[in-house]
Amino acid sequence: MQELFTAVFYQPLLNLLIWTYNILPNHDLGLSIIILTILVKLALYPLSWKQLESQKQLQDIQPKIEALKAQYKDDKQGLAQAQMKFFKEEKINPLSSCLPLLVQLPFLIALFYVFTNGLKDEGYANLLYPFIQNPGTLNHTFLGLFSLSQSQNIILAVIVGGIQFWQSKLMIAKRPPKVPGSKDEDMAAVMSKQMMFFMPIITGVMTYQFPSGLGLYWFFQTVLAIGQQYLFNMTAGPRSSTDRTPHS
Amino acid sequence: MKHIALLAISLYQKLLSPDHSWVKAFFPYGYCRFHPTCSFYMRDAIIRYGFLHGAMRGLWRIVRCNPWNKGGIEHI
Repeated sequence: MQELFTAVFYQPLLNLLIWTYNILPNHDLGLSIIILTILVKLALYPLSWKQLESQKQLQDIQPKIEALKAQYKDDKQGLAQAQMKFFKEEKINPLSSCLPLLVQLPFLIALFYVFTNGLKDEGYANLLYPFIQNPGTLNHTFLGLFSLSQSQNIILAVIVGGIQFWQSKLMIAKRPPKVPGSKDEDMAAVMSKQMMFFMPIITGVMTYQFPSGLGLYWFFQTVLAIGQQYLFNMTAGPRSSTDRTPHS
Repeated sequence: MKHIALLAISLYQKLLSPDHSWVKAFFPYGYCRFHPTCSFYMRDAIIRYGFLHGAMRGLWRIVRCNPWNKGGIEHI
């Protein structure tokens, strides 16, 4: 089982990282982490774009959903069915789906291992494909600033936590405004507020605990996510719920 | 086998599921784009068709549960 995981998910990512390391003229592991991060983000780009679209749609139809919720107060089944019917009429479905999550998960776990264990010199040598040149000892110092294989980099932890806070804040701001009413809403509002502070703390602590390579990856992927969010806001344009045209 | 599978599904629904467990607090409008959700669909399928055939149908439902699918109401 573990060999299968290594062969299918871990090894390709590790080899990609070492390959980018080899072709970079200055052999800087940090820069190859950044390149790998960009490649991963590009691969997931259509998916995350779709997610942003769904968020926006959900926001636009929020009043209608709230009305349905009030109508089917004590009937969860009925609410779900009415909601589905409404989506069908509008030809949208802004809800999430499991498959993307399930497909991504093993890759993200493998990526985590690449950026933590994979950076150790004894960790990668025998996993390289025959056509990937062994670079020998890796240069772990990112731009001559800090070591990527060492943990407990407090400055990086604060920076990563900070940028995570920015992203969480952006996401919360995109959430529909709080509507007074059922307990569910209050609960969701409280939860998302807590998330806004918890997520940065968790990522900060993780960055501190694990080798800095992971933190660098997280920093960059968050920057790219924020960038995509702004790009989306620009192209989607500010639309109010009154002039909404249904997506097809 | 059938009972183990059904037990696993109900455990998943209580502990992890974004639609049925505590996680749903993060998704005020529900998570799954289908109704019934994939876990209930899987449960019904296993009850009706037995473990192997039912699980296959359930897995096929999960494969269809992607952003390019319209979702909607779909009973087993």
